[in-house]
Amino acid sequence: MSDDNAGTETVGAPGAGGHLGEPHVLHDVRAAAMRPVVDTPRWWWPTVGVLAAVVVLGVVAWAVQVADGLGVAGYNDQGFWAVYEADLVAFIGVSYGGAVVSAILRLTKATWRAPLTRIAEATALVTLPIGMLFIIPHLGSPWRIWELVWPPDWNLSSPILWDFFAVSTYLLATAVFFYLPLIPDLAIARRLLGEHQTGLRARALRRAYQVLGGRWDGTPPQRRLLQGAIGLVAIMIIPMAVSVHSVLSFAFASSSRAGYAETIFPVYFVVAALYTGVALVVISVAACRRLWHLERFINPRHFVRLGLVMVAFGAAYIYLTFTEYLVDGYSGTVDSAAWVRQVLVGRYWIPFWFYFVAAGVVPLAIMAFRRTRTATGVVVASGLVLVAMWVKRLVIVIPPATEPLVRAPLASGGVLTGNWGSYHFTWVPIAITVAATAAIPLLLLILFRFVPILPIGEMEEMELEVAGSSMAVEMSAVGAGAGLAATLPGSSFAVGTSLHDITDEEGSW
Amino acid sequence: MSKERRVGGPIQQEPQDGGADREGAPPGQVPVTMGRRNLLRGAALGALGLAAAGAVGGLVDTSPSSATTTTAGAAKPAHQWAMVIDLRYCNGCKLCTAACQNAHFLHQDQTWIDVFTMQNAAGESYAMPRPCMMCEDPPCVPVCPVSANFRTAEGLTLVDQSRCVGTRICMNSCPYQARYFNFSAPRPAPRQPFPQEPAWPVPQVEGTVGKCVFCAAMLPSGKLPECMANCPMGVLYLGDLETDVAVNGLGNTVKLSTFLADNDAVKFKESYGTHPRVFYIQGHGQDLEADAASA
Amino acid sequence: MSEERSTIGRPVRRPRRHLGAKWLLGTLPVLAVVLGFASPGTWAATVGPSLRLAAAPAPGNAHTVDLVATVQEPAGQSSSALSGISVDFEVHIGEFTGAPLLDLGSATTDAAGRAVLTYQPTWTGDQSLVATATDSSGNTLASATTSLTAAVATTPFAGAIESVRPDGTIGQAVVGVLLAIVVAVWIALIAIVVRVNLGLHRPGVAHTS
Repeated sequence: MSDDNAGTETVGAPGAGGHLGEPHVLHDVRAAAMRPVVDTPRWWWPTVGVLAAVVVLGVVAWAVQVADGLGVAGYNDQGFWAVYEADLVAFIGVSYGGAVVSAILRLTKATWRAPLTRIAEATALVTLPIGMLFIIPHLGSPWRIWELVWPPDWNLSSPILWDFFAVSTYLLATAVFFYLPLIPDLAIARRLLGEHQTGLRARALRRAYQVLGGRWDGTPPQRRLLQGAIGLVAIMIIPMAVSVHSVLSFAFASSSRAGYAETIFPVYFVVAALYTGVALVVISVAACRRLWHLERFINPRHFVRLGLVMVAFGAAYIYLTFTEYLVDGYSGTVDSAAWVRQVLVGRYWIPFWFYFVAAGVVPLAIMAFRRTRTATGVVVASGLVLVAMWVKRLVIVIPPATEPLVRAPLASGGVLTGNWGSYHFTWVPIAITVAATAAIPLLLLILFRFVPILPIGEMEEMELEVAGSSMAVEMSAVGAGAGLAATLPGSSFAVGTSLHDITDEEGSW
Repeated sequence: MSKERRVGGPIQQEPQDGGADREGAPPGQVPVTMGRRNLLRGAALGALGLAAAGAVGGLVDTSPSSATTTTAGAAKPAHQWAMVIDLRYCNGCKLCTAACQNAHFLHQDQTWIDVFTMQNAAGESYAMPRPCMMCEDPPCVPVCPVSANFRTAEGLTLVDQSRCVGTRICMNSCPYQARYFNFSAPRPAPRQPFPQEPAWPVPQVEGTVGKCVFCAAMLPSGKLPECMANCPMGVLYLGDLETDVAVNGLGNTVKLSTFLADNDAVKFKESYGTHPRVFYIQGHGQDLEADAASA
Repeated sequence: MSEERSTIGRPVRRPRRHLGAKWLLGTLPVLAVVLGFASPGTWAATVGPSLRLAAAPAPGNAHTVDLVATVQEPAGQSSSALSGISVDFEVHIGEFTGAPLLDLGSATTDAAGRAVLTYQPTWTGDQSLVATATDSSGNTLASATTSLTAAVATTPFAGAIESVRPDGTIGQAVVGVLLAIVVAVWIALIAIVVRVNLGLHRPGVAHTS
């Protein structure tokens, strides 16, 4: 049965007939969703081994840093914040994909999101702790990190403490938001495991599913209870996601430093997080689709839609970037003008314009042209966005930290004599960053050994809903544009409006 | 609450030692405390070649109400430390930086008091020492997540390196670039005359932030901070807003308020709302002749 | 206390007996006048006028004191030269090593030889004051000292300012509200999970198939 859904991107699917009982496509969903749990492909252990080795290398690099001090990571007094702070922002930022795909698209009732939700939420669940862990290499005295979680030592006026509050709350919400839709799947998975597996692992998994999934039976009262809870958390998680990056930005913005002291920063950070979050969802969905042969359920149309959501955020981010530098440069204040000059045409021009091209122009261009508006194009654009936005975080973090502050003449006029500092990359932060990047697929591979990769319950529910409507289109099928629009009540969503234009053209591929 | 506990730690005891001198005893006990004090004062006078004979102290004001409000000692600190930097005399020799680094066993790049080369409107360069500004509203204090920064009753902003976790957000918030992190192991220091505490953070602690402390541990014993004591030009004055006195390493003593007013003293980056307690007297070498002529 | 005083850095040369004398004199009530004498060296070299310095509460102001320096000609000389002599007033500060004297200002003697400077102490406790009379060419004529104990001190500097930052007044309320929100979110999330789990195990809901 695992061969059934291998490598097919077939338009149109079987089982569009009666809609009662268990159509063939639904059975496929169950099999496909459980495949990572029950099958261990040949590549699994070597991949996990390599990724784990990379992670271990990062831990070694951190150990070296603990032994020798932050100096080995290239830090200095006029470059006191750099890679780890950018990593902290970037890795917590990519967790926003889960909130977007699961919460926003759920609230806008965009049913096409269903096959993506589990992967998106799982990505959020693994990237958020990784991002939080960057607080450890960030600290100069990590052995005293307990002070941050020790209430008597709290200083409630510190942005960093509120970062901790916001991120940990968001982590709890993400975990809950991952867990609740999982409940029906755990019950289904328990039964499926009973059918096919008898080994020790299967028994242990069944026991775990039993504990976590409860006695889910899909009865209407249970559905109402669960749907109500999921809807509530979906509403709650959006302001929480907004708060996380807002408060993260306060750590920078609540200072008098040009380039940090920006009122635009909270919005700027949130939009960047949404942008990269969707990009990472694209990458992980593409990887999961390829690795576990989910082509039947996740088709190029999903990528294009995600790509459209992504570039919508990307366009907003370009706009915010423009306003930030325009206003600061225009004001002509000594510190601000010097910073803008350094970023745009000075010593930081290469990373800045790399960001501008790779995360600004190119993704928009890819989504603008029909020839490139493909699954491959979206994946390429997403990869570019992830890399370039990490670079952009460096451009945000490093230049203001290196700006000389003792240069303004006391009262009379004068020229600037301060020297810009600099941050020099060393292997330590690069190793730690690469390790954190490797930890994402590593944790996803491990996570999907235990939970269904597709939201079986939700997809089946969608299926029935769609089947019940007069304009039924199979969830797994690439329907005609008109039918798609009809199944997209979420077209009121910002991107949805543009979907109408796009979908007509999509029939060509 | 932890902040209060910190402030009330070892630091708080210093003003009590030094402060008792300044405040003297309550009026009723004046005769007891006077003799030895005047003895020592007289010693200084004798050094001036004055044959001061006996002295009889008198109370300026004995009204109970004012006495109780102003000599309450415990409530009001005896000093409010400040610094005056007379740029007219600074030649940029950086001996202050060297003395500070020697005393606190700092690395070469940890310039707690740094001397910057500035240019005036005429294109002439001048030197500008920059210690910690000991702001009255220090931006570094509220941002620390673990309350490692605190401000003493005598107006010194200090770092508790036994608490600092090294987020470096204080380095971000300081508009004067006056904070220096220990990115590597600190220079080893021999046994110090003071315990390692915020008032005398020697040796420094790796992974924590450090900065100029006005040599807070030395102040109660009447010793000038290292930078001031070692400035050959007498540029740096230790000031006390409470007693309105400022002293430099050459022994020049001035009435602080008059000195500041007469010389149009300014504070650095006043618009940042930090209310620094470091005062700059502007000008540089070119002004010296005119200044000397008028003096 | 006296050990710290020794950091003034000047050798203690005063004879012991003066200590006792001062103690005695120090017991005198409210206003006491200190008599000072010019140094023998100065005295011998110039054979000029002598100087008396006294501190008296300034009329009408409890916070200030009048320092009265009176120039007295040596016996046998005319007193016509008493006026117009510049007298510098200084206060000894024992706070800093090597910096004993703070210039308070100067005054010129009147016809009676009196030069008066109003002094407002900026610190409380014992203070030693020095008056030095100089002639028009800057030569020291005579010096005198006195001491006083100030119970009231004023500083020209304003007290410490109130912080404008978030740990100030309004910020505490904001922080309280935000903390309450965080706590409420935690409670709500946990309650949702608990409620769902309880609901799934309710007999009437579960296991109908």
